[in-house]
Amino acid sequence: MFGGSEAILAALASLGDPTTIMLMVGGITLGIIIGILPGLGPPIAITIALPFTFYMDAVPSIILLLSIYSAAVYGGSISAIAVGIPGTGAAIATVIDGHAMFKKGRGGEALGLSLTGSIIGGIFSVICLAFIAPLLAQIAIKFGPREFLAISIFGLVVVVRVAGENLWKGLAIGGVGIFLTTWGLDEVNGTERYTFGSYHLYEGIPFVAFLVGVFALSEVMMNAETALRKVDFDKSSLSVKLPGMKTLAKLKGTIMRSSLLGTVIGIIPGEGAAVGAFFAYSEAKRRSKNPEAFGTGEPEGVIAPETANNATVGGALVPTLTLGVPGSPAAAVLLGAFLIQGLAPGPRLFAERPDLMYSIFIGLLIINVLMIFIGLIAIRFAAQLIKVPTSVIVPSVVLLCFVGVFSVSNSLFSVGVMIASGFLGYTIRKLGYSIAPLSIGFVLGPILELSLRQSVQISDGSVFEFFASPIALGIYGVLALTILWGPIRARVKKPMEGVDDA
Amino acid sequence: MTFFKTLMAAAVGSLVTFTTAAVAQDDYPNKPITLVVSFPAGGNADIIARLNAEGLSQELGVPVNVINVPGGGMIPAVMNVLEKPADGYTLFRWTTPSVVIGPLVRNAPYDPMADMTPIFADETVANALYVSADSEIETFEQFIEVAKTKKMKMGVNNIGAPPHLSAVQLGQEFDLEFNNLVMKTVPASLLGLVGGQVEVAVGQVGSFKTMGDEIRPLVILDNDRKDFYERDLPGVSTVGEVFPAKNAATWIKGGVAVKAGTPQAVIDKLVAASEAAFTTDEFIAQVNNLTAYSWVIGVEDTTATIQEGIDLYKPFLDELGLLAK
Repeated sequence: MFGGSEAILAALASLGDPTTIMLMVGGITLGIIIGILPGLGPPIAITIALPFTFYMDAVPSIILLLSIYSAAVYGGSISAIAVGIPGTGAAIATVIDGHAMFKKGRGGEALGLSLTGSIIGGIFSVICLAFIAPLLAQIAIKFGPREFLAISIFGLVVVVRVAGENLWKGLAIGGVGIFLTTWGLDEVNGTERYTFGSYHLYEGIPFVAFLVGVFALSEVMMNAETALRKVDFDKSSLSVKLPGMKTLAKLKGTIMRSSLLGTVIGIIPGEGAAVGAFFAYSEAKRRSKNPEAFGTGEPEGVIAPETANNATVGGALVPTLTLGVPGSPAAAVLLGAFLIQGLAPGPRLFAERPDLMYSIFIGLLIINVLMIFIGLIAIRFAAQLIKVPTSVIVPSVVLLCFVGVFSVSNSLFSVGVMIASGFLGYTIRKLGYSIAPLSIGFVLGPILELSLRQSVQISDGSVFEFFASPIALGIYGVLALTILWGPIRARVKKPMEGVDDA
Repeated sequence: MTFFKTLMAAAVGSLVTFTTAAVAQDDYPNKPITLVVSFPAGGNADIIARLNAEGLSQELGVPVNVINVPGGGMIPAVMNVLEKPADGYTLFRWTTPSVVIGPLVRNAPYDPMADMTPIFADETVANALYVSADSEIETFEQFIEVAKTKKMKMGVNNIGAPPHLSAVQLGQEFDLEFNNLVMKTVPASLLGLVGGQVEVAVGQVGSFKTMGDEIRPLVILDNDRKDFYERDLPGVSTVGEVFPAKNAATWIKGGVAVKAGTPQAVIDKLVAASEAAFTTDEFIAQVNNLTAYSWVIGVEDTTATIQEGIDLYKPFLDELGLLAK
């Protein structure tokens, strides 16, 4: 490829350095722990370590951050399965079936699936990153306002269909999520919207505080209601059962599709692990022979999002390394790490530092392998966490939420937002609505608004121009198919059933 | 009698305050200093602030801790500093949005010139006009010809931000009209060129190193040449060089300030420490990896520099109807 064997040897030499190996192990451990802790996601995990990289060479510092990134994306699934609280946004989709499996006494199996899926997804995306990065980056670069509009509509509709049983309830809550993203300064013409005279709201509702409130805080509020009840679980849930070859063979379609989906979504700038996980989950549910089993503890509902979210790691690095445009919020922090090293990510980086590129590719492969072992130990530790009574977990989680949210911007206002969002999430859950569309509306809202307004501007007000892009048209086509597929299949099935009976 | 007592108490009180302040000045700094950054951790602005903190810490002999207070149009970060005592233990990493654009366009609860005393300005960035590498437009003159015939789609990061204001100035000087597309970040504006969503975009001089093969610089949006232009955009002229009668200025800078009212002795120490720490070749090389570097040191010179920025951008923002009432 670029640089040849000399660069590979240089990469192996720097990766074999004892300090680099220690940083890798330390980074994975830190990443998993932070992933397990609710509210502290990959971007925060990387940010915590970033100051230390000031004093390191390029390869060890980037490897440390990549270890933390990969492990934090995985670590979120442990708490998602064991306690039903997503440790990171990326693990939200895993909660649904992972925690259901745990409650059924199949927690060990779920933990094994999430670990295996994460590693396969991670390795798959690294291979994609290494071999087809330049090609995939060229596709992603064609994404303009019309394409982003299509992809955010697609994402919203798919997620609303996935979460909860009622489409209208899902749409309504998704709408609330989008509405909340309109708060703050309008970036197109500078108008203040819903700022209530407070400058704290100029840049809108703080993202991390909102999500921590909606997920973690509302979850502990729900838990607090049952604080006096003893946590009841099957002991066998605690020992990890790595899936056998037979199970993997059965799930291989889901694993491959989720790896691919996660990688592609990771490549699309701005879309991170959470969106990848939701897409893969909905795709697995849609393709399943028994979609109604999803939500009750379906193994595919665990392995699909977990494979996809780790696959977004390699994917997100494609535009980050080849264009200098971060593929995810965590990758944006990584970009800062490159710049402090005097490296400008872009097409030239491949030519200038082939050893660094190989270090990233090979390093990520090693990180994923190491994650199996460190993950198995971490799960044991996480299992100890579950034995702690709710009356201890709830205040501890609340404390971590407060510290985590405060640390992001050193702002008490964010803490207030978190508390308010916690009550919002709690109310929504109590009313029998799902909070997933709320969070997805909140994530996709800004992309949706900006791309819609840009599309209008580009097309001089003509709606037909929205479809003038072949990529956007393709995305709308796929969306129409996913919506229509259900009824079509039902119609096709009916006569088929008749034939079978005869 | 009561009045006299109050007066005495006030006098004693102020005396105590005065003496402790004096003591504090003499052995400043005797405790850790905080440097407030209005950007999240990890970005360029944060990294430069951390380099500032490291240098100041070495010179002053106490830890300088960086805290990030992002969001809220940078106002919360400024208020975080202004709510603390003016004793030199809380420093502020100022940038263009917090001292120039923000106070002009929002009803900010502070006046940068009255409430802050700038110590130095270190980084400086200039805007440049780019097209896609496969564009038919090859020179700035060709661009003007094309732009006169149609309303070109111009990629800018945000309305009211320096790249947009450069585009506005370009339009005024050459009598052009653009369809400004807000792309949110400078890299996104330039990526819009590659993806074909915009026909022309305003980026920064340093942007070229990240996207070299895919974009083509047309002109540097500045009047006079600065020494780092040749390093970042070799062979590209400034507007002032091509059309000496036209005006094209950019003001994007950053530095460190303290709250107004900070004792002169403390300011002197900070200025001296900054001079010792940041004029070294090693420091300049580090900053140059991130952005361009141009040193303005001392309260008076830095204040004058910031005033230049306000004088430059105020008329444009006024014309756009963006000035705060």
